[in-house]
Amino acid sequence: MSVDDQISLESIEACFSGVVPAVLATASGDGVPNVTYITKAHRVDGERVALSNQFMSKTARNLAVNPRASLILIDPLTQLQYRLSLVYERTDRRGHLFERLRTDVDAIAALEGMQDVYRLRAADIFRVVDVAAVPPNPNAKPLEQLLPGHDPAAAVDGLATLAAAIGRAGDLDVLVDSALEILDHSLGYRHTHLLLLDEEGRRLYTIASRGFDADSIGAEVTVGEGFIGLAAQRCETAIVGNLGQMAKYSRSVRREHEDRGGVRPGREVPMPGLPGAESRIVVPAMALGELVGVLVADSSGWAAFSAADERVLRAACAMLASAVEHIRALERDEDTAPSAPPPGRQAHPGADTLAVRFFAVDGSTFFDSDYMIKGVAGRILWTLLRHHATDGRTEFTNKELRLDPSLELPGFKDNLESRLILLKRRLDERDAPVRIERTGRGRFRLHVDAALRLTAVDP
Amino acid sequence: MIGPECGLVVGTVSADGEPRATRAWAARIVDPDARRVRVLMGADDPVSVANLETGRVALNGANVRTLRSVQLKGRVVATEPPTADDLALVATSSGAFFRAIADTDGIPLELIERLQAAEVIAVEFDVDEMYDQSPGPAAGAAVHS
Repeated sequence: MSVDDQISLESIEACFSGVVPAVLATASGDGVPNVTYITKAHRVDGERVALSNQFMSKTARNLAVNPRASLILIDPLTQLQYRLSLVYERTDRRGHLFERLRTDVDAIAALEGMQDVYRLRAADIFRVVDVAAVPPNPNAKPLEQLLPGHDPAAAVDGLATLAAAIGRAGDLDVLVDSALEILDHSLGYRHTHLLLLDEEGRRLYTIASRGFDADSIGAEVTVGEGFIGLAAQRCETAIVGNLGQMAKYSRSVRREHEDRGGVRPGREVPMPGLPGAESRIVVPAMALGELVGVLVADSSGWAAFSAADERVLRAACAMLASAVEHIRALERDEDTAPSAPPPGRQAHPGADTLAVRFFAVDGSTFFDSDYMIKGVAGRILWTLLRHHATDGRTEFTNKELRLDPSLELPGFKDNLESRLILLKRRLDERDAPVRIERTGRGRFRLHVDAALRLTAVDP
Repeated sequence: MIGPECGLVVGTVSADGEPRATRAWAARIVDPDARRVRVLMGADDPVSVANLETGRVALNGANVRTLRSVQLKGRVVATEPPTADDLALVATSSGAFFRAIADTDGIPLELIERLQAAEVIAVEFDVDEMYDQSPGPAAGAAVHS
């Protein structure tokens, strides 16, 4: 076997990123070859690879009678090709390896809502008996002229800067802002979203973003759905370097399905992100073994994120998640008494009128005809505005909100502080005539620059 | 699906049943009635070239933009060095293939061009079987024409 003698599977790890389709050849018992493209090969260990089996019925029949196979892989960064000689060992239909492969297949399927049609049927495991490099085109430009340099020390410096900033952050607002700023300036992640897990563990909501033109504060992703939701559900980093290719593949599956009379499933799951992004990395932010949220970084570059990026961002996310949990714990422990309502006063004589409509069914709140926010943050906003309209109050505390039954906060581990920050950022982002200003730990001030006309819509 | 803007891969098999995958850089239909196809296969893998002696070959063509794919299987009737026309076709087809990848997937053109084999061999084969290989639930279905 020449795997040990020449090229190890570890040394060609980039080939297993799935960025470039692989090629698999098998042969029938009577010597008829079959050759097909496959979306991704997975390295199992130093001697084995796994291939996901969605539609490869002919390949499966061939392997049942002739276990030998030939696989061509491409390193997406260098475009070097490797030819692997394989011997089929077994097929897994459950277990850790199967789940690993299923994550990738589900992510592709989720792009077009094709989870019911395009799903992993089996993971075929092969022993690698030989790895050989295919000579590159001798007339092509040398690799060193085509690839950018890489400075690993810069990542360490960037993480040190991030750690220092997290240590200095006194509240969640400052924490998430400074974290994304440092990820941008010191670590080169220009386009990021930070999403936090909601109280029920069912949805992720965007609390901070950087490097996007479109509004995204408050944008939500369902846990288990789409590329981001799947990574959150499995608490595993997910990297894709060929979103364009993946979307193309998913569309092709959908088209073939529909061409054969298949019923069109649900609409494409929208994902907040960089228009035209080719690469995305989703890193779970974990603290004390629990998911706190996910960090999402996008790039328009092809195959922009590597295993090195995963290591850097995992370290960043671990620090960030611990800090978020620490701040939340401090807020919950605050024993700030509710502030005494100030005397009523005339509301904004001469100011523009702001029509606020609140839908009790889901907490969604509109300023005039503009959607602002929904859910817990929407109910918080409505509660604050009602108080303000009734008695002119502007000073509030987290404690009184926590005790307000109309907000339907869970009794344990509510994310009130995160929701307040989300609300504050959403109002800032929309340049709304209502703003929130933090005035101390557990205290905040409501600024209203309009005469309010409140309407609650019950179902 | 074996014309320009298509990725072409060839499967061969040795006398003792060992399959082998390699790339091809252009293909055209030589004789529609005889279902004869001429494919310009990379000659950088001597094993694949030697396997042509067994007479069995499979050619898979996938359109880069749509991913619609077809697989042709048949018997080799001739192998020979490429003609000037063959080399011109390789230049045209592989150029279109690389540009389509650069367009649709955003991979730098100069990087993809590293894939191209320095030499090719012309292989003619008569198609016995044809399969739709487009990704989807019907992948592998026989195509009758």
